[in-house]
Amino acid sequence: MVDLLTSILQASLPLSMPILFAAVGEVYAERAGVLNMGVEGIMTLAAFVSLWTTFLTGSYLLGALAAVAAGIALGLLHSLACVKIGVNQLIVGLLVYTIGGGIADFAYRHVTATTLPIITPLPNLDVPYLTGIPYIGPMIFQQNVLVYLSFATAVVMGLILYKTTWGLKVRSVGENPEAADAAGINVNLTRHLCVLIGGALAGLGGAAIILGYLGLYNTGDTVVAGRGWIAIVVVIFARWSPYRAILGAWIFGFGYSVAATLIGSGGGFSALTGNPYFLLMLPYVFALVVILIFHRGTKPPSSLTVPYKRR
Amino acid sequence: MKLKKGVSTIVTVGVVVAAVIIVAGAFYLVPGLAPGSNTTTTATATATATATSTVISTGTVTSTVTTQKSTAPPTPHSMAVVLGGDETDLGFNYVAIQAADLIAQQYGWNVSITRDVQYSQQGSVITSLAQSGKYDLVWVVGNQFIGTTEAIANQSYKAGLKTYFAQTPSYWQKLTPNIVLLDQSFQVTGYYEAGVLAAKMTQTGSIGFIIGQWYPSQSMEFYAFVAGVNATNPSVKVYCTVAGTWSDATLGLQIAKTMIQNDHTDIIAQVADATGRGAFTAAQLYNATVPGTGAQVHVSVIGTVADQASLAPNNVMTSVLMNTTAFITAVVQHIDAGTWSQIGGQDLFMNLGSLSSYHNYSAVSSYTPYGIPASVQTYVSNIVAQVNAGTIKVQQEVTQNPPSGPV
Repeated sequence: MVDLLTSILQASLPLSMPILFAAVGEVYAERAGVLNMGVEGIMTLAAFVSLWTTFLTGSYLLGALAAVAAGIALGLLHSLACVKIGVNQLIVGLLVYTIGGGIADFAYRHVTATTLPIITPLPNLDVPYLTGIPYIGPMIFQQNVLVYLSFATAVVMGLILYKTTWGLKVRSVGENPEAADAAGINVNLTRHLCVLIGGALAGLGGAAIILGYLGLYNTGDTVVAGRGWIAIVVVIFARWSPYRAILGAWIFGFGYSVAATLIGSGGGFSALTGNPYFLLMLPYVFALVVILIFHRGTKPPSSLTVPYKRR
Repeated sequence: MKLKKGVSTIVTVGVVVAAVIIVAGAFYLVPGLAPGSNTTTTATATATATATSTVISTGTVTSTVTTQKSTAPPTPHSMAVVLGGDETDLGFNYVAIQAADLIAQQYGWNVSITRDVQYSQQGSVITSLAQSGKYDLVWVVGNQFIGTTEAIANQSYKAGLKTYFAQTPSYWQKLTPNIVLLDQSFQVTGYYEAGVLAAKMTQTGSIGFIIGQWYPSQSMEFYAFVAGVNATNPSVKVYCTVAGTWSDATLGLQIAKTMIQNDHTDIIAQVADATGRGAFTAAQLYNATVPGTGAQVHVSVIGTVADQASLAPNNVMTSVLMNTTAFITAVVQHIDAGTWSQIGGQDLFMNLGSLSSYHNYSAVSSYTPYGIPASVQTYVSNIVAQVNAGTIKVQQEVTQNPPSGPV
């Protein structure tokens, strides 16, 4: 039982990694007042781009950077439509989702006509001395570099948001853009930047699934498989805080890990719970319970989804 | 000012649209991303029915066939292929497209392939193809279409349309004369043979079997595999895991990892589409432990439907192939010869399963210590010969639920 629990906890971190990247990025976008429902599409396109680039170049770094670029490109599409023109953010987000997934599958079908891109995921890093701590050591200190990067990103982005002048500008733009404008802050430029940051981090989340976990791509949204949508839920659960997004992403990662590990453990647990469909509900049940417990004080940025036009 | 704003908006929209077109078009222009050759034409998956909606008895089909008789197809020998995915699945859709290409090349048929047909669209797409009058045969591939194809064939028959239908696979009963099915037992013999091979090759005595969802065809395949294992080495355990989904590769990886680490499975068979892809990655990343000795051993995967060795060349022991070409060739030959009545209205039982080449497992060497020894290959070949000759009969076992423990 201890080994099973250790296995579940160890797997929960890489499973939470893509959600955390995307959620932190989406926190920035929503804090600035822009809702990006296209996170899933951005992650899907970035997943393919990271795989293809890494396969061609042999460089994981280039693959990750290419994924970030793809995320920025789709983020630019979203920001131009929503921030510049003022199109309904929900509609544009869904279009971005469709475009991202469509381009990724379209491109993958063409490249696989001649070659099948497969890579070996990044190996786990053993942190010296810390890995030797019983149970906790292998659980936390034997992960790949992207897992550590995801947590570091959340902390750094939280510090920027709460401890820097620019972070204050971002928050003020999302709460009261008129006042921010009056104070001399370029509201739309700030929003553009935040959406691009969101796209970049969503791209990194998509790359994390491939480079840090799977090593291959498959069409039909079977690689990201809804984790982009989960990231948007995590933002709400986290009350638009990068720090709390760590907990939110981990809860989902933990839920996935519990479900997958119990399913993989064979008939014993599946028989106990009826069938795997019940276990697959677990991540969402966990999230629902947590949201119900901590729902008080949940207030989105005041100007979320509201375009700003200077009068 | 307003004019400036309007121009700015137009320019911005133009830039956005141009960017999308350029990104999409780049995949035709950039070397290495150009599309491969394809002898078939591809219709879009957004074809809509021309008829109005009416509920049909199956409950899932929401389009109807008109009573107006269609004219005879203007071009003889044309086939429309309907797929739920595309060739990148290296599975059902891949082998269907290979078979369709072969029909076009060898029999001179015009073939049109509709990929990525969503569940909600299947009724309208199949009906539209049937009613178009362009096709002698509408071939529908995928479990998700079971029931829909048969219902549309029924309506087409009553409407007097001349189109034939083929559904791969199926188990439907009470068929009209214008449809032929490939029975869902098509891979049973192949999985028996795979079970024999796996039982010979396992070093831990534990084999895993990952299934997307527990359907009759998967039940048959699993128990045929178990029969092959038990006939070879009854002490070997087979662990069955039903993932609950066909479309989550990350979930599949974690499931496979758990089976390797907790159940010590060193061979994993998978019939799980995208979910099964995770097993290939898990086999590359993790070793299994031999109980008792603690020795670490290489993990192998058995592919399904198509030769999946390319997904993990050093970890795919073999794949259980599905000779879809044999089925559709038989159908096409009957149409060409005008002998459709010999197969129409029937559920064809065809043993289409066989083992693929062993590729990197073809020999034991310093580079491939995990290879299949010649003695084992000979043993398996003998079993295959006996199965083909009918000396070994593989039972088709269907249960409501998967086993609750190792078998």
